[in-house]
Amino acid sequence: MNDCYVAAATGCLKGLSLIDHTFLNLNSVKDLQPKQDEISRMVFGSPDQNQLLYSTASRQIRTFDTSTCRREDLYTVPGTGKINGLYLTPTDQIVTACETGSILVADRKGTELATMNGGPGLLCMNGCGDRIAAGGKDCPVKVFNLEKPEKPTWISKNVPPDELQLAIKIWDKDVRLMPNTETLITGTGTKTLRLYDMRAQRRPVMQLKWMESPINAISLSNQDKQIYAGNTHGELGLFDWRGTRIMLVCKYKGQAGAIRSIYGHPTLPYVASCGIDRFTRIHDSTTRKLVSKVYCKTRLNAVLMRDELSIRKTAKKEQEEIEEEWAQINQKEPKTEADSDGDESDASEAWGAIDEESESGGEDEESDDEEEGDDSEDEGDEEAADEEEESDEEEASPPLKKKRVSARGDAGKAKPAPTKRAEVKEEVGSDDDDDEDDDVQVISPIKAGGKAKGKRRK
Amino acid sequence: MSDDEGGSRMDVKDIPGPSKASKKGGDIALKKGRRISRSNRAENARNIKMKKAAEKRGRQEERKKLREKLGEKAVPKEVPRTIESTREHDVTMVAAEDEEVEHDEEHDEFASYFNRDTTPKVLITMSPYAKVKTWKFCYELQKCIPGADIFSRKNVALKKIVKQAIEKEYTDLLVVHEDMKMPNAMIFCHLPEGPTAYFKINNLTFTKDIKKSGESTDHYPEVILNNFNTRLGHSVARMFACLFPHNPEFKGRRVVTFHNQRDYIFFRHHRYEFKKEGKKAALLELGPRFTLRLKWLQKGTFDTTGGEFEWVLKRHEMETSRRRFFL
Repeated sequence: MNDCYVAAATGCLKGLSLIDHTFLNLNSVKDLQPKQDEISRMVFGSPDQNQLLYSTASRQIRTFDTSTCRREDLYTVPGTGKINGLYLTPTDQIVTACETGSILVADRKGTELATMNGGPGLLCMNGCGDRIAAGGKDCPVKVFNLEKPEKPTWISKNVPPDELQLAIKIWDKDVRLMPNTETLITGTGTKTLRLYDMRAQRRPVMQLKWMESPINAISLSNQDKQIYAGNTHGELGLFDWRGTRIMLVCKYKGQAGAIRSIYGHPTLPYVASCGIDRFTRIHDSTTRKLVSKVYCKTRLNAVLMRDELSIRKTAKKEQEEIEEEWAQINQKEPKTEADSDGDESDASEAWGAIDEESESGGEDEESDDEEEGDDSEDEGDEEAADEEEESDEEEASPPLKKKRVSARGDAGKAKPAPTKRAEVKEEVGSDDDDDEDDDVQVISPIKAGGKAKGKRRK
Repeated sequence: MSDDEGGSRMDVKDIPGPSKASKKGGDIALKKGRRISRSNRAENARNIKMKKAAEKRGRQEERKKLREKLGEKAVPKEVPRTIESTREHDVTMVAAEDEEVEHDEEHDEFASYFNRDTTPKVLITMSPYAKVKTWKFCYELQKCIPGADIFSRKNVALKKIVKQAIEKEYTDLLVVHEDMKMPNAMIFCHLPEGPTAYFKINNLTFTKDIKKSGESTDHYPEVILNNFNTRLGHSVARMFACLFPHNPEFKGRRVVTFHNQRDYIFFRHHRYEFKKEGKKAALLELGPRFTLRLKWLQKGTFDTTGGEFEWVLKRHEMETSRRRFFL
């Protein structure tokens, strides 16, 4: 049900459902003390994405299991300063980085495995595989290999001073290592996006100054050589460097406040962003449209999306069910051939026409059908029956009805369908007498519904 | 309804004969000559207006009597269709008892004021080399907000001012910006770590220019915050509330109103007196009269280059609908 998880500045974890545009508080709000419980970073704690691993303002590392809704405190990171980076290695070790620059590698119980010094003023730390990259304010980006943690394998160098010979501040607010390559991207507080190639040189290989505010968050996307970046003014953009320079592909509009965290889905073209304007927005990265917007009542610090999204699920499910229907129709057609008076060629054409009609009007019919009780279903049946009578295709009514029922996605209602099929056949048979009243029935469905009720009582 | 409404004009056309204008007043002018003098025109206009008002009152009385007569069966009063009543539904409207919002507000930057841990101490300053009108505005604000201090800017950077103010334990900083020798904007910074808001000032009138205005007193005023319904509106309203001391002195009968309508915040300052055994309040306007419009709200103290914005008015994205408001 929960597609998306956000962590709030008050310490609240929320699960969002993107279809309903609603959220659910996973932990109780009353017990939270924002000064201690504020969640600074959050990652998925397990491969099945049922566990959330997060760090709090009181330097505690906690996990939350979404299937059992239980919170577990793992350990407290020693030292002082806010935890600015959290990474779970493929070997299930937790790497935390705090403001003072100390990076700690520990296992789930908190036993220290290795420590590294990232430099004071550390603002961000992220990893990929067995490497981590860390950077911050006046803290150049360093890349460490976790197997050899004594010294960084690569340290970046600041760009040359500008035309007025003023030194440009080092202020990396977010850093990402690109998987399977030697490149890394940073978003800086000096409004630039920088691409570094560790094999080539220590200075950035490509740079792009974007808009007028510091870039707060970046995220990888489902495409190669593309990233999302968001700044403190609420602007979210997609950047591409397949050519010789970093270019802005498009912007995703809607955020009114600073974007604190972006999560680009690894396989699907969706990007989730959250910020301090208390909204989480999911955009479709190709069409740039807003897919879902959820008001979360508190300022948000981190966002995660599951691999399986419910928005994609329903579309997929409907497709599968339609295919099942077709298979069943093809099986049934030889049986009903003997009974039908209509032409087969007309049948297939009419079926196509009905298909289009029902798909376009499908939403209306579904909304009608959502009313509980047989009455609405009768009306629906009669409407379906009317449509078929128009085209003299009575055999099609049972499958059409079944299709509508299953498109609702309600397994419970699938059972009554077979029994109703028999009943509708009876109704359909009796409708032959009323062919002259076709037009009347179509125009006044209420009347038709009444008629159906009357037939039922017989 | 009645034919008298277009009276004078019709009469002019109907009059035959020589066109000697009558310059003497009185309603006899309707009969003499084609032209009506200016004074007569004014008087006729006044008469028509009075007649219309009387008719409207008559209709209202009739409706009122009908409603009373029918009692419970009366047709309910029609709600006028205004822009406020047809406002677009806003998800961020704060419900009456929202546990999460209450929890959020208990722990936000203004919590120390609302828990009575700190008393407000306001610092007012303006842009460098401010002109007369800006100083005048600052003096009026000082009269209105008890315990406010004014300092001239002397070209000090705002971030430094913020730092110094925090050291001197000020709780709020108001900076009046100037353009074309008139105050046009206001930066409102809540101090220890609080949000910064930037408002544009429209329609400023000083106390001296208000007709029938009165002199303010030193009593602590009551504060009225109207119509701040959304979450953003709540934050802004709490910011305004933090300016004034906790305990209003009702003896002084002074009230400061921040009324939000369609995202414009109207500031009014009155002295009231209850009449007719408390059923009506007579108001005497004191102090300046101005409207504010929120442009952005930033988390943290003033830092437009590096700070994070909680809300920014983006005109092309947000001002697309006439029925969409944010406060």
